[in-house]
Amino acid sequence: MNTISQQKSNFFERYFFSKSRYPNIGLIRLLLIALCMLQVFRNYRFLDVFVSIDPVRDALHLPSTLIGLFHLPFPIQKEYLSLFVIAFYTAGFFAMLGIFTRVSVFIFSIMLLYIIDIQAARGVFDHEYTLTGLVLLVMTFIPGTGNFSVDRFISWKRNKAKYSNTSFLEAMIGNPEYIWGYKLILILAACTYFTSGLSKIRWGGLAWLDGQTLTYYLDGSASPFTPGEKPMFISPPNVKEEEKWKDGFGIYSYSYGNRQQSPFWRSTGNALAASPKLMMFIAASVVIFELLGFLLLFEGWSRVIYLIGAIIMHRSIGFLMNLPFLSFQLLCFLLIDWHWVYQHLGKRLQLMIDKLFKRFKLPAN
Amino acid sequence: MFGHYIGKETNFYDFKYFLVKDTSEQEIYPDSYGGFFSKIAIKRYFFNNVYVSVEKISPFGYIKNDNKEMFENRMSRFFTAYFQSHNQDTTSKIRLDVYNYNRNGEFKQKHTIGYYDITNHNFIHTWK
Repeated sequence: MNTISQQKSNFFERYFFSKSRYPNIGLIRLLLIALCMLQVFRNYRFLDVFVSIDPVRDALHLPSTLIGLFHLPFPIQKEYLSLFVIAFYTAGFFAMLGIFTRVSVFIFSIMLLYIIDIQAARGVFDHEYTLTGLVLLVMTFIPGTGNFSVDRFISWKRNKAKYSNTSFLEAMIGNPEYIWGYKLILILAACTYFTSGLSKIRWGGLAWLDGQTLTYYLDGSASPFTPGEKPMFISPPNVKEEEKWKDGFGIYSYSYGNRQQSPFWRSTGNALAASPKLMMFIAASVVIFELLGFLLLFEGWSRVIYLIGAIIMHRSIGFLMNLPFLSFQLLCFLLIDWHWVYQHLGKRLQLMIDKLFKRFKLPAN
Repeated sequence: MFGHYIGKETNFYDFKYFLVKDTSEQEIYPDSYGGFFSKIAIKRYFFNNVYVSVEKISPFGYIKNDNKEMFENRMSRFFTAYFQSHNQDTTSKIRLDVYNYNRNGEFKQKHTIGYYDITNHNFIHTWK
């Protein structure tokens, strides 16, 4: 009995409290925030869509529980917009570059979640920024966030005793850190994928696997760029009589749109949708893949293959529906332990990589 | 996302608002607030928070033991807030219809859900 308990304890000790430099949390912070800021600037520029509309409508748009805890004015009051924009992008730059790293990452993640919340309160829940916001919030307290930062650079420059014989690259990569922070981000990603698959079975049932739902999204029916009525609210054909009291129909939910404008990708989607067997195969593959999200919690090739699969899935949805979820793709790419992958490649491939990166000799785990 | 099943027999709907005065009527839309997603956001907001799903424990917003009175109250607040540009049309009312389509977007039938009285800021649910 003691042995089993000891084994469990050893497993958890190793799983959460072993140390590694890779994947590097500081590098994830830097690149994820850079992409996030670019996307926010591309979509919202100077955030003027998040200001107060009028008191009557603002009163209907309520913050989520998390944002409610901070007792912030909701939404942004017009007179504070300039201040908010300056604070948002400054916090973003500081968090990205790593100046007062943890404080600026915390402020930026809360401000990001705050604007997502305003958008959600007005009707559109942004799945992409939500995961980014949560990952950044987690980064405020996990080990390794300070790697690849200006703070580290200054410390490296000033603290000769601590960083004697340490190159710039080694200082940026940092010392091996407890990996529980990395595992926490993986748990967030695993929950995201697993619940996505689960919701298809929960709300669509096994019928979802027949491929008809995907066919609807790919055959032009959900495209606002093709002619004809595009009603978005739906209900199944067998609504119970007691559910029809509001309108005689009983409406269950709304559907989404396919906003791909490229004629090439639209016709590719149409061609795929023309084959019911292929759509059935894709639907089943997507649900099985998403339900296997917990594979992210296992070490080794299963995690690497899952993350590459997730990138391929997001790229495909990006091409076919103009929903690329770039930050998910970037996060998946950065969550791959490339150092581990390198160590498990054949000698030949290792030599090729050594030649390519001979100037950058990375420290071991 | 994309969890709800859509098949050949799925029914589709759209909500339409009409400003009605005497014998004339004109289709109108909720007041926009601009921005990237405004039009689609208002439709989703309306469904998630005001109209709400009839499905039990819906991820799109549902209200336990919802009834006619609660429904009318929510609708009154929504119309008061989202049709402020028609506040001056006190001799008119706003009718809400739901249009039903098949999977191919072909119109099947429509039902009138009720009317919003601009003067009293009240929504009256008229469907049976």
